[in-house]
Amino acid sequence: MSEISASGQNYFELFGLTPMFALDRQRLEQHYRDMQQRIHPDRHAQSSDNERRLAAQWTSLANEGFQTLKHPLRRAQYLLQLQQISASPAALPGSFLLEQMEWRESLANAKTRRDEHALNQLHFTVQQQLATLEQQLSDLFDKQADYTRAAGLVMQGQFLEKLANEINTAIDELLDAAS
Amino acid sequence: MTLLNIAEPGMSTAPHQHRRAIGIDLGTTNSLVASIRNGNNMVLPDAEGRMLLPSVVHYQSAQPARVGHTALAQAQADPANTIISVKRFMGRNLRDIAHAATLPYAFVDTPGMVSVNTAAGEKSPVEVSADILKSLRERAEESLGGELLGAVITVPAYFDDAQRQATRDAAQLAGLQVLRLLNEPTAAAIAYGLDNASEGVYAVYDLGGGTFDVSILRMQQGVFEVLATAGDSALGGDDFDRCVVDWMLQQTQLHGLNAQDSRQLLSLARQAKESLSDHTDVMITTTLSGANQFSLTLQQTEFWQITQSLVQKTLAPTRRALRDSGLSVTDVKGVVLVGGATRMPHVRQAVAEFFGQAPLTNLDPDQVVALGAAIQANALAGNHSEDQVLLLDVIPLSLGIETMGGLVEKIIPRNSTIPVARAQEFTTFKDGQTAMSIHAVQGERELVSDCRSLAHFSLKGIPAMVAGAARIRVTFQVDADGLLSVSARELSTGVETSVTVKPAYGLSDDAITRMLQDSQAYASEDAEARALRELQIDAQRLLDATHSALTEDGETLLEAIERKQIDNAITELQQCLQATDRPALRAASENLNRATTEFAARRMNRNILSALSGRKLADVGT
Repeated sequence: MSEISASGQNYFELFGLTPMFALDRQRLEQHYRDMQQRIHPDRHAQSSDNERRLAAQWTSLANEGFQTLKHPLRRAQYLLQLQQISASPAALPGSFLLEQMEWRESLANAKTRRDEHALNQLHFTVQQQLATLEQQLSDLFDKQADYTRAAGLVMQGQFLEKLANEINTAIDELLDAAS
Repeated sequence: MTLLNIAEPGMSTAPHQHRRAIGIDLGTTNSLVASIRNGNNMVLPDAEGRMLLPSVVHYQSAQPARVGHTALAQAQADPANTIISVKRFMGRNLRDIAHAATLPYAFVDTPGMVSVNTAAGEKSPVEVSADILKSLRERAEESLGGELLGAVITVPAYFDDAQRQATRDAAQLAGLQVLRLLNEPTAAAIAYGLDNASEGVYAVYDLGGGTFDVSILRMQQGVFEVLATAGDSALGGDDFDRCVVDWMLQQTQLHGLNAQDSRQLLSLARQAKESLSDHTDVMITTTLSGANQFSLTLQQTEFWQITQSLVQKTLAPTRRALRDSGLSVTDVKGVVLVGGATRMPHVRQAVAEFFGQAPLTNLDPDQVVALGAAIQANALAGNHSEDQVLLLDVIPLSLGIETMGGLVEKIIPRNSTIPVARAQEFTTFKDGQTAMSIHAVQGERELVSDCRSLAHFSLKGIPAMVAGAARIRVTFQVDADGLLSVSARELSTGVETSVTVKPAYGLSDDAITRMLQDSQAYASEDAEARALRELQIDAQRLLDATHSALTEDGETLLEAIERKQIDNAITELQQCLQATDRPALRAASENLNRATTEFAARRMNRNILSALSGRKLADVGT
């Protein structure tokens, strides 16, 4: 019989998917659910210790794989990892860094002014930027196979995501203080 | 007494027999036990027909503890020995407990977890909770007519590792096998999900006596996936009572009350709060010690006003959970209310306004958690039913380790689906460094000092290298109960150390052993007999599991010679089962485990392959 082992198999294979950036999210979710129905520890609660241990290991792997593939930037990073490509911050263009500095300044100002509207606006802008970036990544990965440029964009994406998280935290703090 | 039924080889005992399993809602104010009996899910009443067991224990010297209604009756006369809302102390230090000074207990600042000095000696919150659980266990055994396989016990989703561990310890002390610690909002969702049998996104708003949780879940194709959870493990109905007490004190200008009077005012406040859910005003009249009398009228509108900030406080985590789930209010198909405190109209109104829809209330908010826990207990006991759902839950708080400068490096972020394992590599920062201290913490803040410390341990024996040369991989593993274990390994040499997180805030194994010895549950059994019995139960479980695995896949997945080896190991274990030779029993169990290792791996692989080839569940194993 054919065997799948935890080692040597990538997350795309685990879920029976072709390794590419533009993946079929519904199919991923479907396969994830099907797999959990069979391997989750709850499905093996009365099995032997061996089977329960395996169930926990496989489920951990499936959870990690699902989270990695579901999230666009993490999926992109993972695709790079499979190509053994890493990006360095030196690859970031000056214009991007300048924009980052401006946005961070806006964030700081909005926080000081306790301006929820400005924070929401900024969050929207960053999210839009992230959406554009994902479009570009799909092109670079799946059509051009230009992994070096993709790596640069992934790094930009990480900066944007960090910024989005900080904006979220600022909004939360503002709302928490108001209530 | 017959301990175990011994089956003939090849004859599976358990599969057709219903296994008795229960769901327990161990609440701050009240606790309940439910079970599926003859296909009906029901809360089990006590001998007087009451469903709720007040989570109250009264301790007296040289007498057994009173639990529930009889204990509650002592609250005013003997407040120092009547432990109420013990859930708020689980896994907590004295300094964590809000309003400790205003509570009538003789707290002892014991390391790891606070305890209370009572007429029956020093009691850890774990022991108090165990007394409540024991009472529920006895109720269930009586009602279901026999020994239990185990229990699913619910905990607030926002409970951290120390609070979960404490709950697990309490169950052990009460003689209950824990099938699973289940998050309360998730339990409620199961009860509703099965009842309403509809797919979509649900929000569960759970305001209990002492804890607040909110979870966002998606039900799809028989899988209940928790998308995000948030909460406040020190906010609940009790706080509303305290607001009313403060209001009474302000109105009457009373101060410096003794413990009895304080308890009386709290109890009056609670009655007033409950009454104001159905009435526009309530009259509060009482006589305190020293002939202090007062009579006050509290309007519903005024009550809402003085507690509005508490209601608002629940909305911040609600917003956070929704945001973490990546969804918006319009995606939410239904809102489920859980917990007695959600009976308050202004709480309902706030929830309805936030979500833009009236919440679902067709199940009793007091019972829904226990009913959901019973469904899950039934599934985990292996009593298969048609409409069984699979639960995918998350951890509520991020887990990480301390790095340079007292900063936290997150390893597993909050709202990660469990079970989960994740590793991160670290290195030494000094030349010739041979040990590394690892400090596991839980929380969202950047500074270690703002997070909860879970465990300290060290990896020793790292060979001397230049700074930055060692590669130390730290692995965090969270099991399906949400409990953490940590291991660390130096990769170039393989030096390894691991710890199940417990010591910092939980109870040590020694403390648990001592309590077990003290506890009444085992008074009639000596330690030797108990150890043997536990081994026998485990061995029988292994035999049952192996039998049913062989019935399903013995033909297809095993060569004749492999089958023979397993059969031999089974026979050997069955022979040991009747004797009292513990080492032999242990060895035979291990032997059978070894003999089935490869078989287990093949079965799991087959499951994964069949998932990928898209076969339906029903086709597998038939």
